[in-house]
Amino acid sequence: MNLDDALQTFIVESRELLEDMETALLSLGRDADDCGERVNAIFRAAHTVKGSAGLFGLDHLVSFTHVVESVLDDVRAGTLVIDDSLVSLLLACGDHIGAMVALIAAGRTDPDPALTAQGEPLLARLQTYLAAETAPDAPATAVGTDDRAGTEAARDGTWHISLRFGTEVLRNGMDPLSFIRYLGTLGTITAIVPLADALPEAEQMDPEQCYLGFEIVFRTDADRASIESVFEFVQDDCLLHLLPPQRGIDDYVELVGRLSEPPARLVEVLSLCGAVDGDALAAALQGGPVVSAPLAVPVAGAADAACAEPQADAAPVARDSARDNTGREALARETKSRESPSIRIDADKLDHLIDLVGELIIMASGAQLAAKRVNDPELQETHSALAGLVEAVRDSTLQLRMVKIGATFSRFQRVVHDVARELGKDIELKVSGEDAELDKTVVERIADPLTHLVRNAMDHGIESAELRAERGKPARGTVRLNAYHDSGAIVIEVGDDGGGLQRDRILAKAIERGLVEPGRNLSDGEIYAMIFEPGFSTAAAVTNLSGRGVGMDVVKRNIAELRGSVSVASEAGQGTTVTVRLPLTLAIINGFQVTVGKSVFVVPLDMIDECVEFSSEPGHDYTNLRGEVLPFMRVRELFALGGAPEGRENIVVVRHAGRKVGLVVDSLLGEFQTVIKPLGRLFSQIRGISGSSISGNGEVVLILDVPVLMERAAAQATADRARHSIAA
Amino acid sequence: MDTRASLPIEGEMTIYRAAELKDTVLAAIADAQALDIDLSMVEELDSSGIQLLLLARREAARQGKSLRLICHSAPARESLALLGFDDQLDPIGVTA
Repeated sequence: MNLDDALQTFIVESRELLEDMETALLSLGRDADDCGERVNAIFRAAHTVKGSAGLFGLDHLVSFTHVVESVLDDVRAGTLVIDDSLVSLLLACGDHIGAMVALIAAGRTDPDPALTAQGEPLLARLQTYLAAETAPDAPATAVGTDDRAGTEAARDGTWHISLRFGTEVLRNGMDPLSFIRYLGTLGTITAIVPLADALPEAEQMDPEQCYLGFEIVFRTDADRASIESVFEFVQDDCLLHLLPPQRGIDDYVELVGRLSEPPARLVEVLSLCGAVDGDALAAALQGGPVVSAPLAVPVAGAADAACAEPQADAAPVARDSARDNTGREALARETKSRESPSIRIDADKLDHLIDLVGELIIMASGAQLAAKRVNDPELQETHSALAGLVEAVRDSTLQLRMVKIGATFSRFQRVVHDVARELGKDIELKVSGEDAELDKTVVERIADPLTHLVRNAMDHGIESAELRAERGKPARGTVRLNAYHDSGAIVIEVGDDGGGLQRDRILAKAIERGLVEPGRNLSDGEIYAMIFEPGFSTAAAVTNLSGRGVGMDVVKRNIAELRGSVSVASEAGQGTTVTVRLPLTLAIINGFQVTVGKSVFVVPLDMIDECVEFSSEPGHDYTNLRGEVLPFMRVRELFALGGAPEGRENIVVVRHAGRKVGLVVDSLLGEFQTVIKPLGRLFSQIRGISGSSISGNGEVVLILDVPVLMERAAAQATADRARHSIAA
Repeated sequence: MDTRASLPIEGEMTIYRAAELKDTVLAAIADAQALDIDLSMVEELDSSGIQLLLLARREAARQGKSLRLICHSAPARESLALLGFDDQLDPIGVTA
């Protein structure tokens, strides 16, 4: 079997279903209402994965998922109570199924021995739930054994299949015809009698609803599970009764009792398909319905579980191709019926589009410059209209890459669940601002740093239950994830209601490590920022999660690579909040061009507060901005450009994370849309430059990294202060 | 008025056209004394199509009109047979 489109669809959908399943599992513990609905959602996810896998003949996937499904079925039926350990087991099973799907995505449709071995302990644990549930339930076990005996004895026997399709089957994109056709590949349909008794009057008949039912006599050597698997896709939406090969008149009597059509009509139909002698059945029915038939008609459930083993090996190889076709058809129809207003696009195609838009922007500004030189009003007018359109195209294109952060946030439910168990703490995750959007690339790359921050908050932030009780806090700790937009950036907050950072301990440690000179006055923010220094950890105990001093510096570096910044706020006894600021997109920025000597620089526009003419307090690196002290840096000195300014200099006032700094430049060129091109590896060590771009006239311009420059300014200011305090 | 009217159905008789075909078929029955539904140009017949034919047959019988299915195309005949119907929508019973 090659990786055709249907299989791709299966893989994508399975992943989504597994995600849904995980979300539903994690939400189970949180609040008790609509618990049933969530269990149903979990069951449906497992069920659909199994059903689709069956259509592709992925028997190893089917047999594993089948056991999971059986356990879930018991939960759904209320015979098994879902608790924490079962949730964890089911999460692990979800991961295992995910791993199998990943293997299939990699082109291996046969079972991988190593992976199967990993699945064994999970299966064993699932079986304990099944065993515990069925053991006291004697009749159910009896049915199971009877059924299996029947299967053994009746290889190549005939089964009786009674089918009534639900009204919504057709609308859900499934055609009873396809199921009957597929059934035919498993054996021989020796008789089939259609029932359209449910067909309403012409006016009431909805042509898109299904009113059909069938009585089928089917000769096969397949077992019950295989026959049932034919109807996997409609199992929730059809009434299926299977009578095994060794069946007596009593079974038919019971079947008639279970069906809604009048007995006389059923006698007619059943005798027409040669399943039973009509007179004998009528006579048996006269004797009154047999209430407690010893050989019940198991629809699904317990008997299902008993068949789990034979199912995998009984599947004949020859029908694989037929399955494949039916699978494709079913999936294609399913996709069609679900046609939603969104489409999937290859990320590569999107990246290519963004690249093209980038080139378009560069060319457009080049053309605009050229138009200015020609000085033809008409040409200039068209170009400015064109520039407007290009800008609109840019915005919509970037919008395509924007995804909601909610999906990333919801992944943390799992992280918090697992880590909380590992730590033995009771912690809940509260998420807000899921609708904030940001670039897909940023989302992908922020997941790791966020994970670290969340783990850190759980491990170091949240106190042990005893300590919390002592401090009069609720036993259950809270970790918060919040996101919102703030002037061209997205802000993500990771907060906890734990003990807060220990200011003095951090300071002591910083002094001990020589990061700070003793006796220096530092603001709380500056002290807290120390936790991002390499090798810095104040954790009293090193756990296997965090506290080994690797991590926070990596977090900071990762965020810096995304042109973002990170800061900490903390209140003793109340908790800590780490705030991460990130640009919305990495690809294109609105910039402001400035020159220093012959060099052209771009400052990201969303960081610029204002531009003022240069002035300074004599002998100091700061100026008086409407009564405020504004420190500034000379770009010429920062990058050792040399030369002297011709004419008046200007100050660009930039703002970042609540602070303001001035950048002294020669002249101001104006706004400029810039496509960011990353600097080559050779220049990756350069501080203060975040990327390069090409201006309309083909010159290279450098993009200033304002956060890094601000840091330098702050460091310089502290150094100055130190110098002054020593002098004084 | 005593000649049989004929209603040819073209293309696919599937769920995608079910609503439209229902109206067509019921209108044709109402207009005619006797109707032949010509299936020679049916390229695909699914369960919803078969249901419509069943409805047409019952509706014609209710109005005391004669209805026949004629000139079945191969796909139409195959679908009918698969679900256990003969050419005039009667159950076949034992098929094999």
